[in-house]
Amino acid sequence: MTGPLIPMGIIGQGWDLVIALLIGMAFGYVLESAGFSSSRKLAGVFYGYDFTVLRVFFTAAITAMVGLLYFGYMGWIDLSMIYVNPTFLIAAIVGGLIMGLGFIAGGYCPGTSMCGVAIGKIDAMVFTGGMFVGILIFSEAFPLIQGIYESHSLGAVKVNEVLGLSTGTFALLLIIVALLAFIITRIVENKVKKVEY
Amino acid sequence: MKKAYYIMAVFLLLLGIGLVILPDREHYDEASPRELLSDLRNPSRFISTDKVAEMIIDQDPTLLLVDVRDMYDFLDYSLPGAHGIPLEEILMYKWVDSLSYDRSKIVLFSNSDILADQAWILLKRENHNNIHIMKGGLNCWFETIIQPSPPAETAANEEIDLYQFRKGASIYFLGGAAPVEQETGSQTVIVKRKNKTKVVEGGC
Repeated sequence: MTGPLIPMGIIGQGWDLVIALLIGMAFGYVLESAGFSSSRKLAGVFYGYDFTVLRVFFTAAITAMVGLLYFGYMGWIDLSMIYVNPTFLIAAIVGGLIMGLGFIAGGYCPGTSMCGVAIGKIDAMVFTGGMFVGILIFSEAFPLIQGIYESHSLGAVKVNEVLGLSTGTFALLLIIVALLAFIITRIVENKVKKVEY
Repeated sequence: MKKAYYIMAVFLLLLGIGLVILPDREHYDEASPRELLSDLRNPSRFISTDKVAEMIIDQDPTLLLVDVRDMYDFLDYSLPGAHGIPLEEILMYKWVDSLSYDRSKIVLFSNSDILADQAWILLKRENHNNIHIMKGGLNCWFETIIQPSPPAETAANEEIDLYQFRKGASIYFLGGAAPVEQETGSQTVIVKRKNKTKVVEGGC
């Protein structure tokens, strides 16, 4: 058993921010290369003319999922040591709605807006400014919304555990859903009028 | 659509099917509860302080002493040649090489048996071999090796021999010289003069 590298003590804890910075830079580079610094391309997923975002992130998710599960099976990583974000149901739904609304209105998500800023996009700069204002409002108003924020805590649950499925079965189902999504989005893209940007 | 996409889709599907078919190997490298229980009942998992002292004095190359107390206690006092691996760190990757050397006899110790016993269980679950606990820990070490109490006058020879060994070991570990019984007072030497024998007079 060798991974995860930092919790197992192979890499010292002091390195985690340095590694995060390097991975962040690589992630930003890939986002920019894939054209994700364009708000029109990102917003295309809501209007049906460009589903690249969905395809890229779904591919990344299932690749990481399959990779981790096989690494766990081979004994290269201890999956029980991987951090799982705890679920706060109401907060996740409310946060998802706000995030979605911001995504449609602004054309960016937090990571891609930084990519836009890095290449000098003015809309991305405005979006990022708005994001920081949002963070400030959230922080200042936190005592008021703390009840919603912490309600319906489900702990670190996984979807397959909630559905009562084995990890492998859930992984296969998710792969099938992803492949179907890729096919359907391609059909939708072909039917919707092309947008030049 | 490009042909490569179809190939990748089929490849992903096959990987997904593989995950469903493959048997669960989540805990494949841990000792089973049955094995662990059997090892727990085995008294040979304990090793006496006398045996540890003997191995240290003999400079046994297979001995690996592991102090599982925290670093402050380890730096304060520990056995000669011991490695300080706190209980919280015992499963960390950086110690894997030290602890999985098959030819070593790993002896875990703490102040009593409690921490060493916990470390023993953790390592046993990870299938480490040749792991022992110094019975009684450092408290017992002080009672038996550093400050051994003398046996009763009517004690069996084995007990007296053991006490002698412990006294010797105590001197070894405390770095002192062996006590030499001092001769008290000056003894007067009594010279006995032999009586002169008479020379046989006369001759043939």
